[in-house]
Parts: sequence; C-alpha cells; structure tokens
Amino acid sequence: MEAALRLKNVKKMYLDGKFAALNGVSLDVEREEFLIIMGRSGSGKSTLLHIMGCLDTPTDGEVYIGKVKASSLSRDELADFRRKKIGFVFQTFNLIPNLDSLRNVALPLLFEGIEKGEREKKAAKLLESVGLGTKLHNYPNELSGGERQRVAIARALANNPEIIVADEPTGNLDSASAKHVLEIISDLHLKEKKTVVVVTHEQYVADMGERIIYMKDGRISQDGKLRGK
Amino acid sequence: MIADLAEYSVMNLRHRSMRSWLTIIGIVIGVFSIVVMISIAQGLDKYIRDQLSFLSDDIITVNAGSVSASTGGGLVAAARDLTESDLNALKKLPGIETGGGALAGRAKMNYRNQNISIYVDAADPVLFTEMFTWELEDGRWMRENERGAVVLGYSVAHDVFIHEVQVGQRVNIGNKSFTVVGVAKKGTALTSSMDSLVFMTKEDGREVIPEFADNTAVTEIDLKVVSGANISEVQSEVTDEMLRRHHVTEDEKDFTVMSSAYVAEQVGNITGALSLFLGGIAAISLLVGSIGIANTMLMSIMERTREIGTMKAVGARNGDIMDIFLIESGIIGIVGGVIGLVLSIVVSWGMNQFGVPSSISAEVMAGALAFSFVVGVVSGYVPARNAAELNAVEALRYE
Repeated sequence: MEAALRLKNVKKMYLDGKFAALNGVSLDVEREEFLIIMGRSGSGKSTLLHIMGCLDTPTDGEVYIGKVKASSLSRDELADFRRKKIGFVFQTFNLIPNLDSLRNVALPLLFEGIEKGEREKKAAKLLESVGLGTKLHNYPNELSGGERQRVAIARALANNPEIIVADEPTGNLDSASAKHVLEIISDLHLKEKKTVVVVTHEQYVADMGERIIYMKDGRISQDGKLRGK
Repeated sequence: MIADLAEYSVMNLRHRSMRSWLTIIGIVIGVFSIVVMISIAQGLDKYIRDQLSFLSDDIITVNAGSVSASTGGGLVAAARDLTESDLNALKKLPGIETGGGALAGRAKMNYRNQNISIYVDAADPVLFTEMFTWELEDGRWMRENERGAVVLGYSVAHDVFIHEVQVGQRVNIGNKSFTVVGVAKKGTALTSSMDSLVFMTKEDGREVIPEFADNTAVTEIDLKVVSGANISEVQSEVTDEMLRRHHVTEDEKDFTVMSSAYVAEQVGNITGALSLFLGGIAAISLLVGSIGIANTMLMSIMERTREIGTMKAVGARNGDIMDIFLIESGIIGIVGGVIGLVLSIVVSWGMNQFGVPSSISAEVMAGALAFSFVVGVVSGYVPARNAAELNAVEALRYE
C-alpha cells in the first residue's frame, strides 16, 4: 500500500545549522493510519508535524505526500497543496476572531475560489456534523473552548482533505470537551477513513491511536503499534 | 475572489472601527485640503478668464518693446516706436481682416473750470466698434474720421468732476474742444482702469498728447484675424513681418506680439503654478494621512500575525494575504477620498456663496478619488508585503 506520508532523512536546522530540531527523521505513514506523536517539549514533535502538514519545509531530506514530492514544491504550490490535501487542528483553535463560525469554516473554501453560496452551504453542513448547527453565526468569543475546537475541526475538513494533522487538540479543553473532540477525530479516522496525525502529551489521547512514535532530540526514539490495533 | 477578499477586508475594518475611522479622518483631511486648495486656484483661473472675456479670441496685439529673459522678464524700453507704416503693412497680411493703431498718454482736461490730468486712449474707431466689446452706458463710439468727439470712462463722467459729464456736453482736452458722444459702462474688476480713461480718435490724440504731436508713432497695433484662420500661424506671420520691417533678429526684438490665446496661456501658467503650489502644501497633510495608513496597517498586521499564520495553514497563498491587506488600505484611502471630496464640494459651494471664487472640475474629483485610492494602496503595500511574507509557523507561534 502506498504511504500517505513519507519522510526520508528529514532535517530541520535553526541558528545557522547549530541547532537541529529534526535530525534525520525517516517515517512512513500509511493511508487511513492514526498516528500519535509524543515526546517532551523541544523534542521536535511539533516541527515534525508542521513538516508533515507542509506548513514548513525541511532544511534537508525529502517529504512525499502520496506520490507528490512536497519538499520540491514552490511556496504557492505548497499553499495549494496544503489547502486541498491537509486539514489542521491547533491547540489554541486559531479561529479568526472577527468571523462567525460559518465564515471561519468557509475560509479555506474562499481561498479555493468557491462561490459564496456554495461555500456557506458546505460550511453549515460541516458545522452541523460537529454538532454546531445552531451556532453558525456565533463569533469565537461567544463559544466555549470545546465548541471552538469543533469549529476548528469543521474548518480542517472544509476541502475534504486526505490527512488531518492535529497539534495538542485537547490541550486547552476540559475533560468533557476533550472527550467530545476526540470522538469526532476518532470518527474521522474510523468512518471518514482519514489519515490522522496527532501530537499530544496526554496518554488518554495517545491511546486512541493505532501507532505511536516518540520523539527525542529531533529523532524518532520509539515507533510501534499500540496493543490490540 | 477579489470581491470575497474585499468582504473579508471590510469585516476586519469594521472589527477595528475606531482605529479605521481615525485613519480615514487623516485621509479625509488630506484630500479635503488638496481639493479645496486646487478649487481655489481653479476658481481664480475661471474668474480671471471670465474677466478677460472682453478680449476677443481673434485679436493679435503688437506693442512696442519686448519681454526678454535677459531683463528678468521686464518689458524692454522700445528701441523704436511702432509706426503707422507698420500698421498699414500688417493690415495687408493675408490672415488679417482689419486692424487699428492706438496712442496713449496724459493730457489736461477741463470741464466747467475744473482742471484735471487724465489718461487718453486714442485709437482708430474700428478698435472700439468691431474688435473690443467694451459697452457704453450712453451714446455711441466715435465714427471713422470723426474729429472732436470723445467717449468718457465711467469714473471720468460720474466721479472725477464735481458736476457729472453727460453725452452732448462739451469738454476741453489739451487745447481742443470736444463733444462727449458716449459714456462707457462701469468696468469689471480687471477692466476698471478703463473707467478713468478718455477715448478719442487717433488723429485727435495726436493733437492733445504732446509726444505724438509731430510723428506717426503708435503705442499699440491691434489686428483682427480672418475668421477660421489659425491664430498662432497668423501671430507668427505678424512677428516675421515686424522682424523684417524693423531689421532685427528674434533676440533683438523691439516689439511684442500677443494674442488672447497667449494671454490665456499666461493666465493658465500662473494659475497652474498656483494650483501646484497650494496643492503641494496641502499634499503634506495627505502625506501625513498616508503615514497614518501605513502605521495602522503595520499595527493591524502585528496584532493579526497569528491570524495570518492560520490563513496560511488553511491554504491562503502569499498573494491572497497581500490582496487582503492591500484592499483594506485601499478601502481606507477611497472612503477617506470620498468623504474628503464631499466635504470639499460643500466648502467650495460655501466659499462661492461668500464671494470667494472656487471651482471643482470633474477631473479634480476623479483625480482626488483615484489619488486617495492609490495613496491607500501605496501606503499599505510594504505592510501587506511584510504580512504576505511572514513565515507561517513563526506566525502561528506569535504571542
């Protein structure tokens, strides 16, 4: 089976090469796989996630998304590719404060050039799917943390991407909200057949994955399947 | 796509409405100042041209002396006077329909034992009757070859003497007795100097103005151009003929040939320079306004760094980000321009009501709007480019 994501000896250097956030990471993520990335702060897990999500480019090495060599794409090609293939979920939600839920979710569709009526229709449907059908016109400051994260998930799904990358998606949520958000992410994997990559510190989040890698000093220190999966 | 980005930009501006309006006020003041200043200069231009409307646009005037750069633009004293023979020669040029000469000088005038010194404008009657449109309040102009007849300027008839002078009465000028055949209407601001003149035929003028008594000199020749002729070409022919007759080169010219078109051009040059000067001063306030836009955009981008990172994460290209911020700064510019223009129109109208000439042309209106939009876009360009080039990951980490 072709890998959804493939990293070959990826390095990411800072401070003129004096500091390696990633120091030769090679990794295959299969289609429809649910990958968990864990590690201490500064271990390189977020940098790895950004590179896997084409939000950042490696200093060295190759990144493939499906058959496309993402590490060779131009800045604009990378933006187009990211918009179509990858959905981001952040710990701090990163919703646009002066846009209501509907417009926040429709934002990727705006950049895709989809006509207003169609994108709002699609955004409303996505918000309904995450249980926010009654909050289409609420602004982020009118929503709870859990609701904001659900809006962010709906936005990540706007262009029906193949891969969902989430950076500490429950990090800012209470346990009830976190449970709800994790159920949605789990459904994306199980029902929607998305490839999901989640960075987390939380063991209960990690337990949802199929495979887990531990990062240490910019390298993968452990890589294994979770028991029973 | 642009319309959608514009909608998004408007939402951002509305979200920070206080700051947006304060920035817009900067542009309003700038555009208002420029348009009002230019409207004053344009109003003045229109006013002067209206006042000069008595100058027919088919008249060429030849004066003794020349305007020379070497004398700082002053009129060089006549090396030699214009003469009757110059007049006769010029009248024969193909582009000339008719013409006349004029003399001017001081003379003594007596009416009911009151003596005053007046300025006499003595000319061929054709100048008064066919070439210039000076109107009379009473009587008529002198006829061809008529002797002993004068037309008085308004002030001479009404103000100068203790007793008003009326048509049909007799006055003495120099040592000669004249019958008043007409009184001129009160002149407008620019022609009010005519009010204190006395008009007579050239022949009578030679009798009463001492310096023209024993010669054929004239101080001015006025020529009417044939209908349909190109006045600039005829003006050149007149100049060439005068150079030939006076045996001088262009640099040694001892005469000046002017047409109403030339006068209009000079007026245009002066009011144009005035527009530029006043507009330039006012442009400083627009410059301050544009710095305000740049400052607002820079602040906005700093505050929205994470937002920019998010937009990049969801697939915005650098060009999209740049468009969003350019549209925002452009909107600030154009809204400021529209409000500034409306205010200037109101103020210009008010100035006209109080007698201050002010006129805003369609070109100035269109220019002000286009300029304000350009100012907005240019001021926002560098901040927008900075926003577009932000690194997405760093932008997302920005606190």
